Amino acid sequence: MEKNKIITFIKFGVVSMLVLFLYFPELRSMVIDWSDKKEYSHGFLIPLISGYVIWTNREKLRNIPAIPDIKGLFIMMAGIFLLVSGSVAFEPFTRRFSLIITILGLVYLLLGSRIYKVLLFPIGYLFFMIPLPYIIIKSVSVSLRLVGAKVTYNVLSLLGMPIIQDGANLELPNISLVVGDLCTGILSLVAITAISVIYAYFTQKSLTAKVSLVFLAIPIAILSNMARLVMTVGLVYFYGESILGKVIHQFHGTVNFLFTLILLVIAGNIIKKIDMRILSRSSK
Amino acid sequence: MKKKNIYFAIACAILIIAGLYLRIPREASGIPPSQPLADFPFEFSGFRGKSIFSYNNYNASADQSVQRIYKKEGVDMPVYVFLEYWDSQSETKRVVSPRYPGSGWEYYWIKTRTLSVDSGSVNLKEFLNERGTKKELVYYCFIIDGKIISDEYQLRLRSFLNSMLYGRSNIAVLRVSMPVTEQWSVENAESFEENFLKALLPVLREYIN
Repeated sequence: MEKNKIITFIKFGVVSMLVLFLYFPELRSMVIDWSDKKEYSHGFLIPLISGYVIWTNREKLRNIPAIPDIKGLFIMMAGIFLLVSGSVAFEPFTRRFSLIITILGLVYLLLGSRIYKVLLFPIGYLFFMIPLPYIIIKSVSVSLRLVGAKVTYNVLSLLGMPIIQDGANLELPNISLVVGDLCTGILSLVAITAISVIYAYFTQKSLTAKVSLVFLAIPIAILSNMARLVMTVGLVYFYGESILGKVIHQFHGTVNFLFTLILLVIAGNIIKKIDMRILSRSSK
Repeated sequence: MKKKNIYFAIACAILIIAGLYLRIPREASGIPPSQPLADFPFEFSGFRGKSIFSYNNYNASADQSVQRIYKKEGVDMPVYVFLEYWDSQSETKRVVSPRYPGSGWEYYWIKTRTLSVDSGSVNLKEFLNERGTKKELVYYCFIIDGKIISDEYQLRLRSFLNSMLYGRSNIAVLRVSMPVTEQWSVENAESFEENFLKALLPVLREYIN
């Protein structure tokens, strides 16, 4: 038995080293992105969270025998194909995403479908450590800037404030403001989504409840940021542009992020209560 | 037990082969344009141009680049033309979409425009670029395999197929822009630029195909 364990560890070590050899350039560039870009600084935490989820399933995994399955080879080859395609086409996102597919393929091939099902979520969760392509981030940001400006204009106009909107520009009597990328909350949207997924995984029972909470997290984050935008512009109207340089504005984003998390927890509790009621009715 | 070892060996072999394959230095074959871009005419269809430099270098890594300003007699507004060509691309030397120029410029809408030219119809992207009070109306497209493409996802697919199947990655990008002011509206700029493009594109085909 001991000999088998040692062989298993050696095999695991060999496969891990080979994956590292294959993906070292992508892993290195990803870590650099996590360090350089604020919106992806949460990337450092994602593998740790993924590891923790695997650790919480350790008893289940211990009791499942490893039965290699050739079907995993197809998944693994799909991952390798994506890696090669991404290299040929100079697409870093495709190469990084292929890492997850390759790992899933290796799990299926070497450990079998039952272990694969248990590890599917924690390995799939690694998706949140991958910086999204700039084209997607920019497209979302452009839309959010316009919507943010429109909502701010509508709310403040209703409150009787003299404000004009021209695209993402907001004209006040004392100053002109532009809703920039940082104002859209795009930096925190990815992190909020990652948090909502893991929060839903640990707190919700049914798949419907989990998916509902994750889908709800995005509008919660966007609306919360809109509220921050309205408040900021309102403060600028009353206290002048100096408010933008003050501590209150610098930390506004942090406070808003924490507020969004609180809303997420509240939403999670409500969805959980509804889900429990539905589950208890269906069991009767 | 045997199956485990066989699958383990297969997995290791695939990882090693893929790792070695990707480490092989690969230089896509460089394909120059049909004619040097520097020879692109300064005059055509009533438009007269001159070279400009250091305006905004959107694509500094291009192998050949043309930056011109064109005017038509009787119209005071200039049309800016940026035409860049890559014989081949690499991780550090690749085309960047004109949609993302940086330096504080932002767009708030983008649409696809279809123009009728001699050889048929072509699709270009149109967007209004803004920085503070400055605005410019921009049209752009990519030229790959002699085809004009405006959709960036389609471009990626075509680039990928070219690289995989033919080992080539040559590409060109055309950016045409015009200032938008209180006196020169978006509609004026649209009409003028589209007429300019209808004159320019047939000439461009002689240089990039």
